Amino acid sequence: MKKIVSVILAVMMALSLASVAGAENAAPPPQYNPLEYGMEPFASPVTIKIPVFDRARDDVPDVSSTYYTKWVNETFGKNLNVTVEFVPITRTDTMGAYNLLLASGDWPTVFMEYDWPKVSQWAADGALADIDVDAFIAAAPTWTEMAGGKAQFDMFQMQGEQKVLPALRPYWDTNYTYAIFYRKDWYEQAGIELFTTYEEYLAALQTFVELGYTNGKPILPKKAFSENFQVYAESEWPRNEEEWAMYSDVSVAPLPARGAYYLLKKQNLEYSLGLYSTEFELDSEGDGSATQAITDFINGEAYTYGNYLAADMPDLTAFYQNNPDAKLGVIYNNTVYDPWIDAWGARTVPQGRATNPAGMFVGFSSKASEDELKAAWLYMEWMAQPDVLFYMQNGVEGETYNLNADGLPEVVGGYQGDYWMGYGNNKDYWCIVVEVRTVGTIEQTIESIAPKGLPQDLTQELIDNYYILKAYANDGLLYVDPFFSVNIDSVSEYAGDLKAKFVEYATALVKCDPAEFDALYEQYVQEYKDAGYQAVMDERLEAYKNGLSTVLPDIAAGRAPYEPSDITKVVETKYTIGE
Amino acid sequence: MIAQRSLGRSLKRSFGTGSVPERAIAAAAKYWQLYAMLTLPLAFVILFNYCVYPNLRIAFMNYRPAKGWASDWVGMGTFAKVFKDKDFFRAFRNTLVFNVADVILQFPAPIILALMINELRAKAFKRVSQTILYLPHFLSSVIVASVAYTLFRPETGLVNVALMNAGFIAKGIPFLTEKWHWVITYLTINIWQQIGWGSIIYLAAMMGIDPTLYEAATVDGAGRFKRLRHVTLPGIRPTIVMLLIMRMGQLLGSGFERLNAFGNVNVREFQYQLSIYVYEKGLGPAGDFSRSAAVGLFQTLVGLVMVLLSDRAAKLLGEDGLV
Repeated sequence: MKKIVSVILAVMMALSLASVAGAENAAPPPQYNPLEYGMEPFASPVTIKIPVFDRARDDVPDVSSTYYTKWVNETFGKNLNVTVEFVPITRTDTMGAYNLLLASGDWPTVFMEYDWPKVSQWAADGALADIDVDAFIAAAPTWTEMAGGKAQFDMFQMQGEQKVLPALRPYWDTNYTYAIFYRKDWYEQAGIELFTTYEEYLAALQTFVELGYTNGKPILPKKAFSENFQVYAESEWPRNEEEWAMYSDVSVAPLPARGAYYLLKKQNLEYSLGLYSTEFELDSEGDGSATQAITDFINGEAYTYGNYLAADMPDLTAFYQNNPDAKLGVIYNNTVYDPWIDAWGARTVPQGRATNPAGMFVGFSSKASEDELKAAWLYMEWMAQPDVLFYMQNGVEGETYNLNADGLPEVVGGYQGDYWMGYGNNKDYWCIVVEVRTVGTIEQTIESIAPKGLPQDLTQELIDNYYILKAYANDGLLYVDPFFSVNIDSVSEYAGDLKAKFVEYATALVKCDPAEFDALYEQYVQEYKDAGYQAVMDERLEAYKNGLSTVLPDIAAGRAPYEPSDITKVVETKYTIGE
Repeated sequence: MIAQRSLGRSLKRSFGTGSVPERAIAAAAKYWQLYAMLTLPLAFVILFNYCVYPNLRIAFMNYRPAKGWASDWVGMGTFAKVFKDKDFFRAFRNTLVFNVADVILQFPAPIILALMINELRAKAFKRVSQTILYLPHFLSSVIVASVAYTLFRPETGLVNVALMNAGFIAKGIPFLTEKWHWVITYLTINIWQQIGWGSIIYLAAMMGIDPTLYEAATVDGAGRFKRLRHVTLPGIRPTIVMLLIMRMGQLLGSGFERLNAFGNVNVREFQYQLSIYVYEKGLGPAGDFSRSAAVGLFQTLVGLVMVLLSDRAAKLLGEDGLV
């Protein structure tokens, strides 16, 4: 017995020695010393708390302690006498997570959100400091320049006060970082051409079910599960500007909007044709992250899969492992064109929601000391340095990325070694500077975020998708939600409850007998309005009428003529279907 | 009362007939180890149950996390808002109905089980079955719910698939996806999960029944059922009454974890209870902590009144009561 124990101990010792030796062989981490960028250390130690999204995934390291968070502290922190703490924020309940931090007095130094209503709520509550813009620009010139300068800052003031700063979102007008993939091989196997009309689309899906390619639930009405219920593609054209101001928002679903009616009616039709699982509502997480839909796709049962692009997309990797012979295609202009609406005959122009013209809205705690503010600004400035940003986005050469023939970094898919990166190539850390990882031109950028390590190369299709979207954007067909310069209090008050109600109503509407749809819709719209949505509509409309919001681009509002460019004419009727 | 009296008696036995403080000091000196062990739970109760009392004032404020205690006072404003809310009454109704159903269906179940276990004579079998019956209590309701969904989904649930394959039914039974079915499934699973654990206290009470009473009853010609009815049940009656009074205090109680885990959009009509209300309109993204506190305070006050009333009722019926 003793012998066995001593052998085991010896082996363990040898292994640990070997691992130490291995670590010594690795290249030392780069020293992007902030002092070399002209920053000065603080006289007394400063701690800053930076929020980082916790996406509850098991394929990424613990968000508050990764190789890179340690590196930030070793490099930026140590040299400036600053400790950088990363505070996990539940991605699906941002406001709840922040509220708990605020209520317990454990305020983060930096507040970050993509959604305007949320930052506007923080500002209204007094959580955000007034930003001394000149002092900020002096401390963080690189960051400012990247974000687009003071003119860009001015666009996001709240009643003359600068409460947040907009981080850069490159190519924001196209939403090209999100893609929906579909089962191209099903068309080939069945010998069907890709549809050009809605009838053909339905017929194709029904054929796939009949041929047994799927267990009978090829699509999932994901959109019905979340308050982020976008109906731009289903809306009338040109837009009624007042309705756009009342309805367009990611935090409350616009159930009474005509677009919502069409979209739900379409889903009701598809459900009645047996294209959805009869249990789809049980597979939702209530926040749009329908995990069952992902599982179904990985198992080869689902028709589409949508996600933000990254060089390493574990779901796609798993999909090809399970379905080695499968072939995927990219659905072009997915958020722009819903052929069903044309089948219904209401609209002739595809239109869509561009993403925010900014990445993160970055604000600062109104309780932060002068040193803490300064340290947070320097942290942003340091992170915006090209070398630092490159290291945070790409990691270690030969481990997490390799240089390709053009000398551009290519991420190694599925890497989980010592230099394991956070979600989306550390996105939730460098999002404080820039929203997407760009390298060289847009085509090279797409190439770098196109999923790698798969049997199929989808890069060209993703590039095509960008150009199609770009044509729409150039034509003025992609536009954004209104930005209100006042907080819409009723949104803060009712959003949580309306979300729960919307999910309940939308599910019932999708599952009801098509003959009863209209009556049920009317009933739910009334209940929804009574539950607070009327107040939301009224308050938004009033703010819009008082000139406290942005306005629609002239083309979308019908104030300027719409002239489709050649590319828009060509792609309008082809290859398209929303999720 | 009974506890106080017996304590008094035992103090007298041990420490003579001095004045109360003298006796208490004598008792403390003799049993200091026991009192030392009591300090920790006592500190826990003081810290987490009494020290938070001042913070209940957020029910009377329009509390915003960012403003903290500097938030505006609104007096009874939050209560007015809650009592005007239709959803509150839906949640209130559901909570009340579920708790009454629970008292009727679930409260007697552990008593019956305890009586049955008590009649078992094979010791080994008794112990094994008791352990098996306790086990579900230790499972988190999230786990129980996810197992329940795996078993009872209408289309792909194991039970429905088995029944359909056997030809008993043509279409899956919506155990958890139709509101009336859901109520029955929900309550039944709750009984299954808690029945074993609930029976422990009654079994303990049965141990305390004087065995000579059984002997006397047997001599008088009482059979098993007569002994059960005239000896065992009266023997555990004080325990039943005490637990019932305590249960009445939770008449508006509503556990979030369990409801949330078992909930789905099809059954919100019934699943929407006070804890869900508190979460969705209060603690959740809305961040309306004042509303949560107001509803919590209301639940507690109703609970207090119910305990006092049922205690009084028990005393009128000749029981000892709790207070």
